[in-house]
Amino acid sequence: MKQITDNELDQLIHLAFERQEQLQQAEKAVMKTIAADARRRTLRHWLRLTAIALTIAAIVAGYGWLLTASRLPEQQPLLALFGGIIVLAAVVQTAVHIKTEQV
Amino acid sequence: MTDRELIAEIVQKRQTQAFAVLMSRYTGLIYSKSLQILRRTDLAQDNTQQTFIRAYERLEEFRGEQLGSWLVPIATHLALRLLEKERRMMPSDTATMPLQQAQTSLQEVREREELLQMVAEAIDCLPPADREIMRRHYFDKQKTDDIARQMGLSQSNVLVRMHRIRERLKKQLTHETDN
Repeated sequence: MKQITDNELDQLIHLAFERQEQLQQAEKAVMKTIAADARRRTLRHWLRLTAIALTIAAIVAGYGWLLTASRLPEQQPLLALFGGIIVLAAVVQTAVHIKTEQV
Repeated sequence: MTDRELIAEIVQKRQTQAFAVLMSRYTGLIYSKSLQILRRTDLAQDNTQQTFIRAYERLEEFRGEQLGSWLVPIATHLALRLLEKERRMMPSDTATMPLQQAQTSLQEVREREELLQMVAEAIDCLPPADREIMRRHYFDKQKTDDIARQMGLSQSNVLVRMHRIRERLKKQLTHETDN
């Protein structure tokens, strides 16, 4: 049977409180990191939604302009350029969406 | 609430506060395991934090019932990696400790950690007022007359309480180390 001396006990009690303090600090640091991560996720989510909304709006507006411009022959090169930009925007948006879904 | 229920709260409802409850259940265990491997309190604290952050990121992969048995391998893996990194940074003559010496100190660390866990658990079981008296005396290094004044007790009452708590702790520790 191992007897614990008064000195050892005092030291153990002190260490136990010291440990408790360290663990509380560690817990606080982890919670801080987790909260920051949650904020980052929310921000990313909203940024993605905004990007999708803006792309859809651009596509709709572009399509409207396309319909108008197709009736004017001098606008044909611009029409082709704008059509290309819209297709590119849609491709980029889809790629970004697929990438974030994978993450 | 069980670990499983808390994890469901975190994963499905994104209740990050539930993770604080989970953490408070296992920080002692993870810190202790980390300290046994790393033997340095600052590294053990870092490793404990990293373990919980890693666990939070992979919480959806947890399939068991007790989180502790899932966390310990994560902590061990991270601690070994950290140890390796520390060793690489240390001069080679200090990194090679004789095997016997290393084993003896590991045994000592284990025994001390077990005792410390017992004391911490015994302190947690104390009534709040008694725990506060002990914390003020042993952690804040307050004198008994100051504690008595601040807590609205007589000094003799504080001394008697402390004596009883210490005796109870000593008995409990002797009993548990026997078992």
